[in-house]
Parts: sequence; C-alpha cells; structure tokens
Amino acid sequence: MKKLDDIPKQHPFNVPDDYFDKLPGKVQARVQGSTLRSPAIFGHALKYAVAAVTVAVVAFVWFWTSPATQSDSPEAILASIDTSELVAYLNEGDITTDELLDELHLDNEDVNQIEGAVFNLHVNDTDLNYLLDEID
Amino acid sequence: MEDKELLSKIRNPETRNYGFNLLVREYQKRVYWHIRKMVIDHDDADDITQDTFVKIHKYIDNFREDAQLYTWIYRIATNECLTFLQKKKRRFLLPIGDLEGELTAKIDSSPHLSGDEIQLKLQKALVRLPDKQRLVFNMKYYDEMSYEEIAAITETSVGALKASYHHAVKKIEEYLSA
Repeated sequence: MKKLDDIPKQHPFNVPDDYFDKLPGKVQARVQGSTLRSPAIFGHALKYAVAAVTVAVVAFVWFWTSPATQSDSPEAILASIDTSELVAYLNEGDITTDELLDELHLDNEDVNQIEGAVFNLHVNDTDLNYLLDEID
Repeated sequence: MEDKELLSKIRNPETRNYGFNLLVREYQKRVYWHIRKMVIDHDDADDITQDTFVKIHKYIDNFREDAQLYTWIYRIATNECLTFLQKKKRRFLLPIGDLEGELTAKIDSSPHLSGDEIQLKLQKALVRLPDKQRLVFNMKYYDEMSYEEIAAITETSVGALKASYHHAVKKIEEYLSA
C-alpha cells in the first residue's frame, strides 16, 4: 500500500509571475469604490438559472401528463392530453415562461418532484444552449 | 507586524487603507494557497481570494478579537470556498461526481500546475473527498495546523476532525495504491 508519508509534502500548483505583487492593488481597487466584481460563476449562474426554469417548466408539463387518478380534476384532464400537444399549445400561445411560473403554485412536494425529473433529464450543453435560444 | 498593531491601524480612519493593505500583504499567500488547494484553478482562486479580502474589509470592524485574527480570516476564506463549490454543483444540476470530474480535468490541463505523477495523483485523490473532509486534510497535512486550530476555524470538535483526517488518509492511500 502506497503510504502518504512516502510522498514529498508539496503541492503541484504555481501562480503567474508577480501575482502576489499585484494582488494587494487589485483588492484595494475593489474596496475603494470600484464596482464589485461578480463572483466567477455569476455570469454563468443567470444563464443556467434560465435554462433550469425552462427545463422545470417542461418537466412540470410532463409531470401533469403522468398517469393520474380518475377524477374531474384539472390534473386528470391535463393528464389525458398528449405532451406534444401541450408543448405545442404553450409555444403557439401568448403565455410567456414568466407568466406560466407566476400562475404555478408549487408546494414542496411539487418542487421535489420537478427537481427529481430535471435531475434525471441529463441535459447536455448543446441542448441547454438550444433551450436558452428558445426561451421567450 | 503584530495583529494588534495591524488592527489598530485599520480601525484608525486616517490609516485604514494603509493598515488594510498591510493586512492583505501579510495574509495573501496563506489565504490564496488555502483556497487554491480547494478549487484547483488559479483564476477561480484569484476571484475567491479577492472576494475574501473584500469581505474582511467589510466586516473587520465587527471582529471581536475573541479569536486569533488568522482564525477569523481563515474562516471567511473557508466559507467563501465552500460556498463557491456548492454553487458550482448546483449550477450543473448534476451529481456531485461531475464537479469532481471538472476538478480532475483541471488538474490534468491547467497551465498553473506542475508536478510529478504522484503529486498529481494525490491531487486527484483529494478531489474525490467531500469538500469539508478535503479542507481538513489540507489544513492538517499541508499547512500542518493543529487540530485545535482547525477546530477553531471549522467550528468542529477535535475528535471529529481526527476521525475525518484518519479516514481521509485511508481513502487517499487506497487510491494511490490502485
């Protein structure tokens, strides 16, 4: 068994030349009234948040069409409608994604089920970018 | 310069900027390397290091000196790191393993890494650990901090830290031997 004690205690990381000479100046610029730089991932966060909302809406529509108990409830009526017809209706209608989300009253169980559905969708970057382009 | 003197300069409006600059110069390397070992990528570490010092500047007047200054600074840096990694995981909406994949890819491809094969393999073993366990390992193994110092930073018991470190070492050695 390879032991940790057999390995020289050093890390493989390095930094650009003069990095530590310049860092104090960069920090001072930020604290002295420059606009705060956003955290590294902020620019990506908005893009992925929008994509996540779109995927959640699609997943919610899918959720509505899952087999439901026999009743006259709106969910039961929607469950009888084909998913592609629902999506086509949403695309052709005047309802925006924001309006749709405003009307949804999601409880914790709904949110958990949507997250589970989204989690299993395995959306790749190409599809994600396509979804972003299609969002109204 | 002693921490007490540093704080005194920072709390004096006339010398605040000068004092804070001294604080940054005093702690920048410790903060940066603490963060860098967690996030791997230099640009991410740079951003988080700056965010840490901005936060220190914002809250330094609230520092009550009931702990060492470096404990307080390390705690802010640690929280910034963990928040960053958590946000990255949520951003992907993918299992935790995929962030591990990204960090492993950075170990393989980053221009700001150089080291022999076993050093790189050790880093890959480390990114497989849960974030907090990796944090404890880094502070104990690389920074050679005492369990008491780590306990003050992470607000975890010494016993839990010892168990965490021992478990981390075991997992790492198994990975290195594979």
